[in-house]
Amino acid sequence: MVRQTLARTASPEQFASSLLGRIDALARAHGLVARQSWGDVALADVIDQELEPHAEDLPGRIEQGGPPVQLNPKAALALGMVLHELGTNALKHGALSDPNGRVSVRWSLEDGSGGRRLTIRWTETDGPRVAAPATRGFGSELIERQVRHEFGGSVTVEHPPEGVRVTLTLPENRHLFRAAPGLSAAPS
Amino acid sequence: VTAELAHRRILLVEDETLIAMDLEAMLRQRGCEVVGPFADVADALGAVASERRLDGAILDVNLGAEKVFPVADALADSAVPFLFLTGYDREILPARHRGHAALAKPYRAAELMRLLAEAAATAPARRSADRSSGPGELPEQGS
Repeated sequence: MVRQTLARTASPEQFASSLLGRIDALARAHGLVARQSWGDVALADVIDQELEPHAEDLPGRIEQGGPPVQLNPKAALALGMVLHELGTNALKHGALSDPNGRVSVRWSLEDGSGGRRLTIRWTETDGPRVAAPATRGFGSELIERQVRHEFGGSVTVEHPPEGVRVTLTLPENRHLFRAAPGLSAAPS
Repeated sequence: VTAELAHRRILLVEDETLIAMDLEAMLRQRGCEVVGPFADVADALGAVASERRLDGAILDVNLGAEKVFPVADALADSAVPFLFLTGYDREILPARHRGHAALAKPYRAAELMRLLAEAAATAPARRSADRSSGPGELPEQGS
């Protein structure tokens, strides 16, 4: 990660800041999993954990919701990194860089022909007008690779003018997550 | 002896994305062609079966709930040299694979590349389209 971040940053300051953010994201996800004695954790908690640093400064501007889903430790770490990259991007260029911007993270479980899938939709609104970036950064590559490599899933990124939309589609066949019907979706 | 990695086709099996990306970048920097990375046994076995040429492989032992050994068996059957990456000591390796190099994580990049180059250099011959040269050895069947 250090080598990859170094290869993509222009200045020592930018390098340090990007790298520290990524290490922090890993540490957060790691801490969450460790508190469950390296067991499964709720998707809602992973989202909270990774977006907390932004949410504290921006009350009411990040919302999340979906059915109870439990992630295994490996999946929690991978999704934690993905959410960190999305949050960082929103803060630097997207909805969280604007006083009126908002982020919504919603997910659903769907049964399709290839089995059950978890779809996570990251939607930014009311931020600065968006245009597709000319180049793809390490953050985008990290998201794409985490999802494709660890979940066998796919990512679509759209850039409508009102805000970035990212859809993560994760098949259940690698047993990285499961529906948790016994749990309430309400915060404990 | 200078062990060379340029133009070698290297199979990469590693489930952790960050490590996989790091290894891939490292191999490309040395002029390798990277096959993969693959995160599970089924995908890696598919590549071993379909790739016409592999000159070496890096195998992460633990792939989530799976172990990489069926891939190691398939590579051994095809005389493709490989080395293991493991978070544990060598005891985890089945006896039939103890002769292969195993590097504990966190690995040193230079040492890993040196071991890989040495392994690739000891390959008896490059695998060709004709893979039926073995004396009637049966490949081990995966479960």
